[in-house]
Amino acid sequence: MASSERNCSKQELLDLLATSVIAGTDDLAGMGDCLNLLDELEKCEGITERDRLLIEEIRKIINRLILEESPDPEKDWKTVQEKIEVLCEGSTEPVSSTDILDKDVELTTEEQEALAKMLEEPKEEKKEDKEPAEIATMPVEDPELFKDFLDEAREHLASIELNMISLEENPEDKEVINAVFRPFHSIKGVSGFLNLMDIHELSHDVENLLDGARSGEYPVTESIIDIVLQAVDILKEQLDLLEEGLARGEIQYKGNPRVQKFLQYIRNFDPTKENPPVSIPRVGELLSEKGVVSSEVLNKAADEAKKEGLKIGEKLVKDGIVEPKDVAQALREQRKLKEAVTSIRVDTRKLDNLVDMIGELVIAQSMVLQNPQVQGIKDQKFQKDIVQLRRITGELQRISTSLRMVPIKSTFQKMIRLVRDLSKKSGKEVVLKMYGEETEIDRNMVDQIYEPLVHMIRNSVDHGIEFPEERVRAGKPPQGTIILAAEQKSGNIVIDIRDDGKGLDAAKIRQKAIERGLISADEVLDERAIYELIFRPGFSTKDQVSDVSGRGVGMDVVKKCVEELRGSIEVNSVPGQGTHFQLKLPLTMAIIDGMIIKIGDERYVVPTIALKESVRPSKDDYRTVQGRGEMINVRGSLMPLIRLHEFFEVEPKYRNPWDALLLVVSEDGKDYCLLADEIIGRQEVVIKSLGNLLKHVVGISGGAILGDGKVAPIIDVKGVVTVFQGKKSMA
Amino acid sequence: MSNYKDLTVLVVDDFATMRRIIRNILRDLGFQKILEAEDGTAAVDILQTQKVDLIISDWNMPKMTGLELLKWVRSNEDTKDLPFLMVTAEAQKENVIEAVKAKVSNYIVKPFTAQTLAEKLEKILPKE
Repeated sequence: MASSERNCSKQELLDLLATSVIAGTDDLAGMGDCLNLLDELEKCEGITERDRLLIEEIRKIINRLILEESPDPEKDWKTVQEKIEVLCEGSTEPVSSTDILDKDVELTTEEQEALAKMLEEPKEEKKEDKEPAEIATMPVEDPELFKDFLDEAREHLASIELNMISLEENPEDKEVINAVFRPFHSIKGVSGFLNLMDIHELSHDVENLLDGARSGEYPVTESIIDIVLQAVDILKEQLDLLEEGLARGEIQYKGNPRVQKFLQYIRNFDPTKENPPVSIPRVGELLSEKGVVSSEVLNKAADEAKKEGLKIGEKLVKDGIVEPKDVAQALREQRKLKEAVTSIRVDTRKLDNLVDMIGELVIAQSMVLQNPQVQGIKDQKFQKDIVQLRRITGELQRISTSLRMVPIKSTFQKMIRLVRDLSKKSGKEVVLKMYGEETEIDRNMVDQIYEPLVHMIRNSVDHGIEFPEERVRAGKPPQGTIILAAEQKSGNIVIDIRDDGKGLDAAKIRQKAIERGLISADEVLDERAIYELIFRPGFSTKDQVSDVSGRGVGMDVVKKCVEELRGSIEVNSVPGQGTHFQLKLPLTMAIIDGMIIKIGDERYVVPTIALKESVRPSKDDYRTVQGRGEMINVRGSLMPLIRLHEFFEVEPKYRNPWDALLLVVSEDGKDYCLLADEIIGRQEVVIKSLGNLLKHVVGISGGAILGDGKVAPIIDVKGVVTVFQGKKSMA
Repeated sequence: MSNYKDLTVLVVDDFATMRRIIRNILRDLGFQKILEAEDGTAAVDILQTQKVDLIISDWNMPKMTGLELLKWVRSNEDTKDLPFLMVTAEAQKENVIEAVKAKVSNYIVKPFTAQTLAEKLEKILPKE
């Protein structure tokens, strides 16, 4: 075969072509040979422009013969023979007559008309000869066939949905596009046979849309993904309808309004006018985004770097335009973005299970290692192996925790819109600055902090930031600023919300609290304790409920949300300068950093986040105050003493506070001292639910399995304090 | 059309319903020995172990496409002369040119009738 003889010279190929015969208008084999020879010939040396034109013409005519699109196949067939002759002769003795070349390149008027007619009414023609005619010969009467189709089509649609997820992540992956394309193609094919026109047309249109993406005409955008997913939904509905129809013995195959509407939508959709999917920014772009380098300098450097064969980062550093550390950071960011692109989706339940099991593994390891018999092993190799094992399980635990972490960015970004809307509505000018968006947080928490954040930001715009005139009078820029920042600090996520507004008005809060009966008129409170009053249920300082701020929802709800996440919230304010809310949240919901304490023979865990400090008071620090009970003086401030052994009804080792240990905790702006025997240690503990029976026990929020396998209750500080307050007020 | 009854035909398509439709049509035409493969690689397995007289294959399949199967068939000594009918969709008709270059015997556009298929088979099956 000619195509296998790679080294054919032009003359040999022409000879082959001259002797090749296309036996007739439907001799596909002959035409195929001819096309292959033409392909080879085009690659040969010594091919003139004229040859090339001729080859192109012959090819065009053969193609339309093959596709049965020729207006006059017999004539075309003859033309091909003639043109091949011209091509072969032309190379030995140059073509002198352009007439031959141009002959029949253009269709004659008759041919044009014939072709136009054909193109004009292809649909009608097709419908005529395919629709009713085909049902007659097709085994459409066969319900089994339809049932097969239902099952298989559903299976394929399910596979599309799965593949769409990977397509969303890798919009340029041809393999994935193909995997989505194929099921539509198959469904289209079969539905065509079964004369299910709605399903046929719908899958046909989606197939076309995907075909364009597959051939690289346009990228797979979110809109395309949306269309495909919507098509899947509609197809599923159609299949359900078909199934119902089969049961009735009457199939509705055409003219479903929902399908027609969607078809119209797809047909009006222009995939080439879509925004391309988010791509990974280049290092230069990242640098200019950060303002390290201007775009003009960047463009110039990029051109030069290309010439010098350097990477843009190298060039910028070499010329001293940017610091190496900036480039390194940009590279790191780029890598992060790349990594994000190559991620996969995992069911969170699986992840939770994994994290849970690893927690159990760590516990089981401690149990083994703390077994006295194991501890008695003196073998050096064994000791070394234990260190190794600990290292691995430690790392495993760290990784498993990080698996559930997601950047807080998406939550933060929703606030941009919020602030914009709020400032528009309130007539205040506010800018939102965000820091530490890349800080990672347990994905279970990310949704739950949204509401509290929204509320606090609303508060800042509503109650904190002043109107522009007022700000200018106070010597501040007319535009107010809210700073939203997140960072990871000593095992916690710390979220700061600061505004440069007028700050909290202590006198007004106090007055309000008295009006609402939250405090008595003669109660002495320091500034911080007054600020904390805003977290009390039913508190609102704004005289009028504003249009945008939450109605009937106060800061108490925020505090409750945060506490449900085992976090804490604090407020600070400087009059005239602004307010600062600080949220502290644990890194993850599954593990807490706990202080293990002992009361009598029992061990308890106190969440470290609740602890301010631990003190050993002297005998003089202890006093009993009339009407207020036992108090401890910690560096000049008096704090109520809560005897944990009384609360949990256990026999303690020490009853005198000066013998024992005191844990200082803060609740509602007030400090309390919890009396315990001793602190055993600090440890990360995996939180276990105590089950439904013990769920509502006040003062205990869960159980933690300790190193020796025994369970220790986790103390709910808020609960303990609440019960203590209740008892005191009753007494 | 009883002359079809001794011929073994291999139907290649990843969609089982489509294979069933084609099989029904082939039955109507009088074929009795009908083999099925769900993609090109499965077809190759069959072609290596059984005698087949005719291949009817879809173009778009996972793993090994119809074109790849065609190329394999044409490059294999035992199968290179087998009649090969490519099934294609109207929208993917340009593919046909590629198939013709790779020596496909003929092609047929979905959806087709028993009559169209018979006409195509008439063209590609060796005359007695």
